[in-house]
Amino acid sequence: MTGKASSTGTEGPAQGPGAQGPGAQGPGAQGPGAQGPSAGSPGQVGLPEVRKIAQLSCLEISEAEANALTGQINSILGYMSSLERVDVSGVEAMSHVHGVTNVLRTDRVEPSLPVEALFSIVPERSGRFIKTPLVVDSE
Amino acid sequence: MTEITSLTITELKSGLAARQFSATEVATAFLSRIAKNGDLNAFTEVLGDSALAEAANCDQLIGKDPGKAGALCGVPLALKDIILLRGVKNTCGSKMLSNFVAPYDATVTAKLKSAGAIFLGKTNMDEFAMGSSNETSAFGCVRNPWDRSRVPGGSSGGSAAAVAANMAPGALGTDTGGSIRQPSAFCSTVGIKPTYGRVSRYGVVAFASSLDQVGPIARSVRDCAILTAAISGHDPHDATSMDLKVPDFEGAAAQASQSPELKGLRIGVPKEYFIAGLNAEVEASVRKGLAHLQSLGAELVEITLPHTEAAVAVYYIIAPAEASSNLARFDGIRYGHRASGALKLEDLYARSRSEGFGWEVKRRILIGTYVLSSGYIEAYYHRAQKVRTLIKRDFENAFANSCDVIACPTAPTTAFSIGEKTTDPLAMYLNDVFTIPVNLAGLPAMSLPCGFDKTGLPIGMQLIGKPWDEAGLFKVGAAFEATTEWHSHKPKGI
Repeated sequence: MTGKASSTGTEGPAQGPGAQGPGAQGPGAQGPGAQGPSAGSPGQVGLPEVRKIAQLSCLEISEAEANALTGQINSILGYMSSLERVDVSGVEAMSHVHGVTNVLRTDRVEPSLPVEALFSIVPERSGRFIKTPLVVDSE
Repeated sequence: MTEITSLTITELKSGLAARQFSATEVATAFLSRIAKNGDLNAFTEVLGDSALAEAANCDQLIGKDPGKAGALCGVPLALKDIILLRGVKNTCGSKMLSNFVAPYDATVTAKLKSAGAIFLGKTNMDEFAMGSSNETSAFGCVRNPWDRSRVPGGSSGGSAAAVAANMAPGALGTDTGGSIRQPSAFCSTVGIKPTYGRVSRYGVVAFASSLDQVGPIARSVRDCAILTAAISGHDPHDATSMDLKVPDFEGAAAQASQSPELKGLRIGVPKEYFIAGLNAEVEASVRKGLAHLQSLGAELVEITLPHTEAAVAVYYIIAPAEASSNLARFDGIRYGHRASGALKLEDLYARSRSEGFGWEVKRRILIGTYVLSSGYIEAYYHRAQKVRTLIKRDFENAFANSCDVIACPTAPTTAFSIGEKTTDPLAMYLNDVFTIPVNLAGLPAMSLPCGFDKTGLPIGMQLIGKPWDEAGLFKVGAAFEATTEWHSHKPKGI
């Protein structure tokens, strides 16, 4: 592990209203009222937002790691804010460099990868099933 | 006779065909070179037994009917450990995939196999290709053969180091923001990132799908042309691989080597690439290289790519955004690392990912999640995609009005010391300033040796082409190579 998360970074300034982020939604949440990790202005995140982003990313981080990451992420986001100076009025967002379109194949049965080859890389199995912990609470 | 391991792919092919040496002798020579340079940590796995078995098959084929042997029959190669080779571990430099055995071949692997190539092993890399120094690998940093206290560049640093240290005559890498070209510059190899869509990405673990492209690293422009031709072409498994005829890349390189003449060619020199922060010795070598291209008949034209400065910010929004989505598949369920003892599904996801990913990967997933999150997606991701359009237009304008090829430095400095930039992610990211715009615009670009600094560290010159004009790059590169001797230098003690 080469990460130096604990050695650098300072906590960024805390955000104003909304920094606590209850009701925040995950990436891709749409529509009016949908909120990201916080309602703060772009360019700076605080400790609560970093914890919220980690939760949305399915990553566990310790308090010390969250502190270090806050400083690093703010330094990176601060650099990205330089894009605010670029005039993008009337410019279309790029969706693909060559403008490709969706490709549909004929709906017919084709050979797939051997099932056993794919099962050989499953961490835990039971016969032809993949084992997982409880998905739904039993209560 | 020249030692086998210092021969180019072109020379190995003709030597094998003329029976000057056998495929078994060739494989054995490279395997012993790999063993000798184990301290470079260039390989995550060496495939000694299978390489020798494949070599014996090639010897039989060549002995029986040389006409039927594939174009690369008996040529040993290395594969970056992100490109699937069936039955062999594919770690991506990550603890997450430390026990993952590839259940199928990537399309590029299958193409090389059918051409008769032999695989010497899988090469070390930055974790999930996220890094510019190889220091984010879970299996330790690769060392630069020119100075073992320095990084080889990244993320295809294992591939570049292996080729530079004569451990393989050629290797495949991947390039999302410069990961073939920057290590090539740091290790004095030739490396090309083909046009986005020239090469299939099927079976190559995805980092940022709109930017990733597979390409070769080798010791000559012609060798890169041979390998690029071998892996190019449309693949029904990758809808972004374009259905275009693959030109005669090797022919373009071979012809330019024989008559290195560039009369009528306009080479654009972007003023935004010669800025503060560019190391003085790197600038001097690249400018000398430009003057050399001029002496071969090319016309140098100053051009402007006005949105260059924004490229790093655009890239470090778009690439993490795509990575946060692509890496969501690593959840500990179907493959990859699974945390033990988790009682609930959500706990299993979070703990498996937290244990399996290293810090650079986590940092990028967090940034990607943030820039895609509701409330920020417009300010970051959508804005970045608009600026990306402007960056692409800069290149389109330059090629439409001023030049046929662009030449500039590959990286702003020579190889830096191990540990020098690991505590400052932003400083590390800025190292990619000259390579990133090419990926954002989907263009082909090559790095080739153009000098050394006073301490003997290699310097690379980057050539950027119009979309699908890899042949143009091979022509200019081969003409440069045929009339200079930078590529013939070798690191000491390999």
